This record gives sequence, structure tokens and C-alpha cells, in this order.
Amino acid sequence: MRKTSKWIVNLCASLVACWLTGCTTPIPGASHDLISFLKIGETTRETVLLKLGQPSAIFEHERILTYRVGEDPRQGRYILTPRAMMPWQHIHYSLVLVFDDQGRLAKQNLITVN
Amino acid sequence: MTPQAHRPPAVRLSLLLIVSGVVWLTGCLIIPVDYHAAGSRQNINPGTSRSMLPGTTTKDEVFLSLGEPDFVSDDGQRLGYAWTKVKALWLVIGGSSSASGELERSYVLELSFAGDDRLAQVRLLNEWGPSVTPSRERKR
Repeated sequence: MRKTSKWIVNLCASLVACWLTGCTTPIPGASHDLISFLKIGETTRETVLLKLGQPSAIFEHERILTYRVGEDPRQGRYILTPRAMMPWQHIHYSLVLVFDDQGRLAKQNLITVN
Repeated sequence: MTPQAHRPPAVRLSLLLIVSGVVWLTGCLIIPVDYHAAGSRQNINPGTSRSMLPGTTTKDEVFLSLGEPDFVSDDGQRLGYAWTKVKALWLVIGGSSSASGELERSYVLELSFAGDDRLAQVRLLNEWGPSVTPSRERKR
């Protein structure tokens, strides 16, 4: 009897999990540790470009790169492309990366914009 | 309990009748509000300029505290941060039709830098409408 009820609970949990997963549209590149690879004094500009792709803006001959970042509670953070109309809609953060003369990350900040 | 809850029903009814009368007589209602427009960034406000100190604040510090600017001059020595707020909601009723909308005010915090990349001047531009673009600036 106890074995049967445990089996029913497991079945219900699986069905709920399937239902929840089915309702979620996967966001390309979304990750809870999207920017955890960034290390001051270590991470190079090339690594950033390879991992995060094209920045939303480039300043001072690539010394400063910025990315626009969205966030989904379940899927994590993801990079967004700037749009001409309503440029900050759906954007939660502006990621600012400042590099030194050797192209290594010198300063960074994730600024909440919305 | 809020003070409004203590207001006698007769007073509330009078207010409702006055508002209804104004809408009926003029066909127009304007409600003052104050919130960010859809698609606007929300991390900048007129008070932001107080934390920017000319001669002290560097360009890197501005980037790292305010994020990506919305405008940048061709020489990169002027940055603009833009935002838009809804200041009023309007409603017009005429016959069998009606229309409504938002009255927006747009702002740009313009930061100019000297040759040593330290802040030289802070300016707040604002205009009624959905956008304000500083002259000779390139939109990002």
C-alpha cells in the first residue's frame, strides 16, 4: 500500500515537472552564471567576445564594452540586442567592462537599469 | 485606515459628481501621474547629477555607475543618458467615441569631459514629448 502511494506521488511530480517545462520557452544563451567567468586582471577581451558575442556598444577603441542583459527568474541572465524603438524594454542590466592596455579586464559592473 | 476612509459618503459623492460634471461639460479629463514610460531606462533621474562632481568624477566612473549611455558625441567627450516619464494621462469623450493617451516628458543628462577624462560639465535637458536628442550627438 505504502509502495503504491509513493509511486503515485512520483508520477504526479513527474507530470507537474513535464507540464512546467512544456510551458517555458527556452531563451537562447540564458544562464544563471552568464558572467561568472569574468575575472579582474585575467579575462581577456577576446574571451569576452567569444563568450558573450557582439557588445551593444564599443567605446574608446574597444577599451570599454557594454552589453545589455535580460533576466528570467527560471532560466537566468541572457544577452539582448539593442533595438531602435524602446531601447531599454525587457533589459534589466547594463554590463560595463573596462579593459587595460593589455586587453585584460580591469573593471566591471552590472548596473540595474530596469 | 487612510484619511480618505474617514471622508463622509456625502463628500465623496460630491467629489465624484464634480469630476463627472467636469468630464461631461468639457469632454476632457487630465490625470497627473509620474512614472517611467514603457521602454525607458529607470536608473537615472534629475538627482543623479548631484553625485557627479566636475573635476573629480572620471569617465570610467560614469560608465561603471550609470551603464551604457544613450548618446555619445563624435569625439567621445560627451555622453548622454536619456529617460522618459509619463506626467499625465488624458481622456477625451465626445459623443459616442472617446480617446485617451499619455503626456510624456523626456530628459537627457548630458555629461561633458575634459582632456583628462574628468567631468567638466553636467547639463539636464528636458522637453515635452517622447524623446529629446542633444544636438551634434550620435544616437547609440
